[in-house]
Amino acid sequence: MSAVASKRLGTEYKNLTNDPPEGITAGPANEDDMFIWEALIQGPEGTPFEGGVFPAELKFPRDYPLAPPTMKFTCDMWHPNVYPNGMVCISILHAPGDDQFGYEKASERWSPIQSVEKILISVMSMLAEPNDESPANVDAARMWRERREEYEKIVRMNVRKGLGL
Amino acid sequence: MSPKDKNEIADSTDWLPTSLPQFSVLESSLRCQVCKDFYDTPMITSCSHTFCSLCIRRCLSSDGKCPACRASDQTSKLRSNWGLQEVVDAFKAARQGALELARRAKENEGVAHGDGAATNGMRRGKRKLEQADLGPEEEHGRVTRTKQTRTQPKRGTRSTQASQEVITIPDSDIDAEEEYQSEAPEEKEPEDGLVACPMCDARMKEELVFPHLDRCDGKPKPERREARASTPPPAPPQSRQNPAPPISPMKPLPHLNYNLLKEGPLKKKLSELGIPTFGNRQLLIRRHTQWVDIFNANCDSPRPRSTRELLKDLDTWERTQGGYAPGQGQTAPTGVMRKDFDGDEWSGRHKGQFDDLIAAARAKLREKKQAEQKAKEEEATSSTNGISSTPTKEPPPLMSNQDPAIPDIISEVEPHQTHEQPHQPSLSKRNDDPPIPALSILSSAAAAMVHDTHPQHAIPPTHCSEPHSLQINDKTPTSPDGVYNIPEPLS
Repeated sequence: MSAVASKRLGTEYKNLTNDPPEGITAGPANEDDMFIWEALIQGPEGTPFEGGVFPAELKFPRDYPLAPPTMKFTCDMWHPNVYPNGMVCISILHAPGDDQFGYEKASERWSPIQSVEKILISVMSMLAEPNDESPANVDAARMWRERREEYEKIVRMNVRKGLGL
Repeated sequence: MSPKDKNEIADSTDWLPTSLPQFSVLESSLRCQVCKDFYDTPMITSCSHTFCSLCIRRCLSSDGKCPACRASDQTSKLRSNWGLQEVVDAFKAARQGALELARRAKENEGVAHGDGAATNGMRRGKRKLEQADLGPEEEHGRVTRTKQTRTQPKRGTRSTQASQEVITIPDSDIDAEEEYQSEAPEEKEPEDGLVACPMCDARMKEELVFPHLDRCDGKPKPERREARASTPPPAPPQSRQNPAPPISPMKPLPHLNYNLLKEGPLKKKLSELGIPTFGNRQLLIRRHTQWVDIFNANCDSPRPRSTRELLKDLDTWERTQGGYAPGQGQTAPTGVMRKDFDGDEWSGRHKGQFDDLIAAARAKLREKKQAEQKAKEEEATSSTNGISSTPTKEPPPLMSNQDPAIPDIISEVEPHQTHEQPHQPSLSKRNDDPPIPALSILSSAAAAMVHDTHPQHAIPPTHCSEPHSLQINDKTPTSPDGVYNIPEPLS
């Protein structure tokens, strides 16, 4: 076990368990492996995601927190910043080095002082306010811009599907 | 990590369910934002942010920027933050006791204030706490938490009470001081008009010292000597004093300009530093960087550790992120045996596999011998059976026809498999030209009918002749087998 990474993940886990932000639950999927977490995010109120609970998987690199984790929704997610396979594309998850998009401010990028909690809060606000400047899912982005009603309908359908209704 | 471990991790949220929730904020401000642990050898960057020495060194090695504000910085510009180190040490020492007191205070609070305004106050506090907990932004939540204590004098006084109780803990220091004082007189020259023997410290009248010295064996009386040794230097207890920045005997290592170093010189540098030199260039660079960070962080530390311990840290890194890390196979040593390769350990670990291989090889050899023997026996029996012998005897002439092609194969094979030679000619021949021998054999045996009605079991009348045709058909597959087996060195 990487002493630094697993210790820090342990601290973060405890912190999240004792003092969880609203609408967010997260922890290691299996307590033997601190490097794969499961997270549940509630859909923010006042958005078509409201009422939904979205499971996601976080994978941490061995040199965490120097490098950011990756996050992938394990449910259907129709959102401009989520790839069709569920991978989340958000600036806080991008290391400052690889500016593949060229539009992200360095201050929004991953830094070792960020945490799982901040990532999940950012993703939650991303659900409420998509960034359509660099969409991961172009179709969803276009629909969000041009046919908002249809977009919201799909999102609500996914919410219902996720709840098993 | 088991759940038990998780509970053992000390964390700022430990304060939330106590009577001093605001200590959570205090504690998190005493923790490094990178490793989330208490500051260990805190260093200030040029942008005035503070991190553990090792944390900031690793960050700067990886991207050269302050993790908090992303200002560019260099490790050479880091400065120690002794004051903070002291605060952290003091807090860590007081933490356990204070936490227990605060927990107990909370329990008592629950029992004592079962009525009236106090209960209202409690409820109000709780509700606010909940709100704070649920706040979407953490900072926001923390602000409300502190606000709540400001609007609540009751809680405030309680916390000061508690912290007063906490303050009483340093009493142990005073005790220590008293102890020290009670111990000190022993060391002072007691004013009893006696003097101490310079050799054994025994006290006696001045005029007796010289006669005593003639007899003195120089063995000091045990307790006295001990008392002297254990007497602390005339300084107040540690916790009260500014620890003077120790003059570290170790000099920080310089970072190398890896672009200017080829693999050879780089390896040499690593071996000069006494760290492993296996792996490719990329791994060597990463290992060197890691070592420099670990080593220099230790140089900053007021409590430097031995190089051996540092090497252990490097080994941990090696196993988790370096050459031995899972999923890092490409950086692991390939093909070349490591210098410190432990052959005994290796053979012990893989004994089972070796045994299996040996057993398999032996079984194969036995099988082959049995097959050979069987073939010989069959040949022998078949040769004694009049007509049936013709088909089996037929091949040799054919083989001789095709001789020109065979010698090459045999000559190649010979050194390994001389004992198999009797078979080889027929085998290789069959391979070269299978249809002809079969046909010729059958025709010569006047068994064309058998050949046409291929499902052999369906021909009871020709029963007696069947074994031969079968044998021939059987032989064709077995013989190539023999040929393919040739390259195997085991037999």
